[in-house]
Amino acid sequence: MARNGRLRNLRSKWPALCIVFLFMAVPCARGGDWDRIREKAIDIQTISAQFDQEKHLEILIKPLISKGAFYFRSPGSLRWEYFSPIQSILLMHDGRVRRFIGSESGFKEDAGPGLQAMEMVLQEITLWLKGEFTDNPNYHSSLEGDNKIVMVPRNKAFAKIIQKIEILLSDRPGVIETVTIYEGKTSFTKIRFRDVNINQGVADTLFESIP
Amino acid sequence: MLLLLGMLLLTGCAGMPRIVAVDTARASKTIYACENAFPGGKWQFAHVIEADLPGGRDAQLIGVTEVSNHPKRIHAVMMTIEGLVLFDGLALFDGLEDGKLTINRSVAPFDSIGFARGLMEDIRFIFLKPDGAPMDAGITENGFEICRYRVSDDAVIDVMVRPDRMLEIRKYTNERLIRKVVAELTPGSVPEKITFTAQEPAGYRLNLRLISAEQISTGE
Repeated sequence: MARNGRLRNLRSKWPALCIVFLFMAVPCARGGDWDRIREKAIDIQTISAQFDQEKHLEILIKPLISKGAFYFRSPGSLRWEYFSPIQSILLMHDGRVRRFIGSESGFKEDAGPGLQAMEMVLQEITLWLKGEFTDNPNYHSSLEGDNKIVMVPRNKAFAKIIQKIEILLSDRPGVIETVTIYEGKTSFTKIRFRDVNINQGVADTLFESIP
Repeated sequence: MLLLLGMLLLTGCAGMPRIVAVDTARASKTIYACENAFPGGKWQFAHVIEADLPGGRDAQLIGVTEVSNHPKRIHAVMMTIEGLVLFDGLALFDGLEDGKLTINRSVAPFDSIGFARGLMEDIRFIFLKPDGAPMDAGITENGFEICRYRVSDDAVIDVMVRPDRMLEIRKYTNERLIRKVVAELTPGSVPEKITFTAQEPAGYRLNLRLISAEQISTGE
């Protein structure tokens, strides 16, 4: 029962976790000196980027492609948006988390039970954005080579769902090239970021309204 | 009066339609139309699934389904929009292995055997032609071409091809409607949209929007 609860909790946190990993990578990026990384993380005020997401499964003849964009503004405003194949928008602003799903009749707010869990995750994101990510007991993070961060869940229940996350950093400081989330040897999700803008301003309305 | 009318309409919708007898040539043509309404061979589909669940809850998922007619086999994967796989299972509906179910992965709330069996039965109902030859074929009083298959002692499936080129599949248990599919027929291809409605025991509705369809060569 407790295991099911943990798994359910993790499932509901999945979208937010993806975002968390994304931002965790930024402070992790520069060389393993966590204090210096924390200082660099404080400098990031806004981020915006487009992304292409590939889902690979053993069964799939071709990977499933999703496209979207995200916007972040410090200390805790976030918009994670899919354009296709499903239109969906996750908004985090003023401590409130809202999710909207697009349909033929327009966007509809999704008030599922997962939202409560996402609010909790938002608090974690805020901490990580301050560079305070090494205190998270749920993951072991390591730097491979110059530009690859590998995160492995410590919790066995979590590890059954996500085996590891690999974050590949771009040569450009503070920019991530890809995030790959492995669920198994042949099942993984790769998110490629492009058109990344840092500290170039993001409009308030993006976090307050849809679309 | 309105209540009575409503009840009559409801009964009319839910009951099994009467099949009007047709001549042999027309019956053969009808059976051909019914059987060609299902994808032949082996296919892989990816769908966006909009689910209206009991209790007024909604969910959006992505489903990947591989269906095969010979042998009758279904491999189904359900995942979140973000790509997290919630369910991965395989079901066989042929010969000695009829009903054999293998679950490769399942995450709450999709981690019960009951869910897996129900999901596979629903996918089978949507994509695979009912077993055997129809027990009856003809037209309904509405002018729909209809083939009726007995799939168990107490269950019947009606496959109907409507004059507006819509496919309608209904499943009845003890003459009560329990499942219904409506899809647009697209000759030589697969439907872009499918609506599936479950009436009992807990009602839910799935709207499937096609992302991709790949026919897989049977040599694989």
